[in-house]
Amino acid sequence: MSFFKDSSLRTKMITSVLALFIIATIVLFLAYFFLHNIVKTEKEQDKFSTVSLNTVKLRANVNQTRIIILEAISQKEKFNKDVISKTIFDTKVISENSIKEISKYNQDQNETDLLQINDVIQFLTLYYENLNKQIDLIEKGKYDELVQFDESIQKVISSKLNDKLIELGKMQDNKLRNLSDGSQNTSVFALWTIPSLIVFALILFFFIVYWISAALRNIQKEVNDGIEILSESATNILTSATEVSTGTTETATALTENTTTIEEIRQTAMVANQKAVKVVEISQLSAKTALNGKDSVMETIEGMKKISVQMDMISESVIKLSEQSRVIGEITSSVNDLADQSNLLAVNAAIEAAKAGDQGKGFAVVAQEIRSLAEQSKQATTQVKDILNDIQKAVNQAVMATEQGAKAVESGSKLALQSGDVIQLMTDSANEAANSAIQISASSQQQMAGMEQIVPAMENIRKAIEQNVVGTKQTQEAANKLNELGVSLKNMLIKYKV
Amino acid sequence: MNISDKEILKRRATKLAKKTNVETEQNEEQIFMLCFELASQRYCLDTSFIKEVLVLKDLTPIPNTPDFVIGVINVRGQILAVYNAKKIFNVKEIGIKDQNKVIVLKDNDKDIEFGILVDGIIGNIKLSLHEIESIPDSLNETGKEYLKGITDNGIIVINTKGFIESQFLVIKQF
Repeated sequence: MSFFKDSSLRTKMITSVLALFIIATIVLFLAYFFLHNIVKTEKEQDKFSTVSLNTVKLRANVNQTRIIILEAISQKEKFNKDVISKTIFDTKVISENSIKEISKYNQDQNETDLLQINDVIQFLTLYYENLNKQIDLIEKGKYDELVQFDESIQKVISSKLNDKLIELGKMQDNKLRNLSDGSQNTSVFALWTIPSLIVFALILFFFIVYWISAALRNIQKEVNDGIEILSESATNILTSATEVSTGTTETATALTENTTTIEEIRQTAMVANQKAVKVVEISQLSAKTALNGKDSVMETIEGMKKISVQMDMISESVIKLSEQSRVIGEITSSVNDLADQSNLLAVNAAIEAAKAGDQGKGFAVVAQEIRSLAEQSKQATTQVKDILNDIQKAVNQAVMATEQGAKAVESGSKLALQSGDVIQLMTDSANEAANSAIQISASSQQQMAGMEQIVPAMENIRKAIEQNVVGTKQTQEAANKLNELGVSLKNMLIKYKV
Repeated sequence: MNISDKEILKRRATKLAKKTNVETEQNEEQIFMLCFELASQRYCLDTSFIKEVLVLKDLTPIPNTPDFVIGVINVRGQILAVYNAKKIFNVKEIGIKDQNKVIVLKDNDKDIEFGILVDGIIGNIKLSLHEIESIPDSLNETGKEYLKGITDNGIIVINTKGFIESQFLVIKQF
């Protein structure tokens, strides 16, 4: 069934028609077979019925003739002889006719029946010969002979004949009954099978019609949907085509812009190429410079070491200076003491001079001078002290400065080392930059070549766009046609409503 | 060097010379005084009572003596008592001065000799008597009896004789 469902409509229809055809042929064949059977049985029936009927007739004739004979025997002279002969003649004719009718089917009889029939016919002929003899005897008036004959021969023959006829009739009747039973069975069978087959065929036919109509309905629905989709698609295509046409015009304008842009890019690429070449030169130069810088840094480090040594010397000198200034301070303090003592001496001298009165006046002046000298030397020592303080401060500052200088030298040498590393990095970077610039140069050259290839490609695109414009117009027309086609298909479907 | 410079130098020389002339020019009686410093204040003593001025050296403190006695010193074989002038004149101690000098005072009439410890010696000065102003009576502090007056320069003039001969300084405990 699944095969049937899955197969195409054509195969379905073909198989259905074939099935119908087969059923019809079967029905026809069966009808023919049954008719043939019926005809055959009719013939047989005819045969058997004729035989049995004629046997009955023969029996009746035999019995009639027998009755007449027996009447003649009993009445003897009184009996009308004309009636006898006439009756017997009539019965003879009838018997002959019956035999004829029976013998008519001799060809169709089987052997036993044929033997029986022939036996009956022999007996009949024998009976009728004896009957003729009896009639002769009756006409001659020899009733004694007749009785004798009748008693001895004819009675036996007639009874035997009668028996045989009964047997034959019974047999034929039985056969007829059997036949009629069989024919009845076949007719009943035919009566059932043929209508049922016809009904089955009708049902099948209805089913086929239903299937086909369902299939057609499906097809119609699908076609309808398809048409709707078609019309929708057609409108969509139409709008798309218009959009595409506007898009193509925009693309055309964009293309011209693109062309100018590409020209600019090409020029930019050229500039980039030149710049890259310059960068290569510059980076090589900078690599050289970096090497020089490295040497300079090494020299700087050595210089720093020298400066460090000098700094040590300076600090030693400053320490010596500090010690010497301390010594100077001690000396000045002793000078100050001396000045103090000389001042006291001057004062004492002045006191002595005052005691001396007028004679000591000159001495007082000298004492005053000494005192002023002592004052001056004291002032000088204070000045020296101040200066020494300044020197001490300066020395301290110098010590701090030398310490800072030493630190600065240390950090400077560190920085110089770092700058050496940095310069190394710079050298590497410069080399990398040179490599990169070479790559950039190659890339920009490729770019330029690409740009020059793009220009004809752009021209091709422009041509393609022009073709596109034409194509979109054609597409619009085609879409219109599609739309019309959908409408006409719809109308057609409406017309051929399934 | 032109003429105007010379004139300027001359004028300056005369100006300086006048200052010294003022000191030498004297018509009235003058006294010689020794000026010393005590807690930033200047005092002066009459030179006729001063034997000499010394630097304080090898001081020997003496126990069981009044506050104003510092100790004794040896001056060329002579033992001399040293008094603290600040205690005597009731001057407050301001800081410490290591330049302590000893003024040796002597009264030949009474045969008294002792030293006073001062902060510093300023020098010998001459004073006219009219230059000394008397101290106002309203001030009544200790040692006022020894004070003679005060000069225009703010130098306190000590009545040297009174000071030396005062009973205050006589040490009864001896």
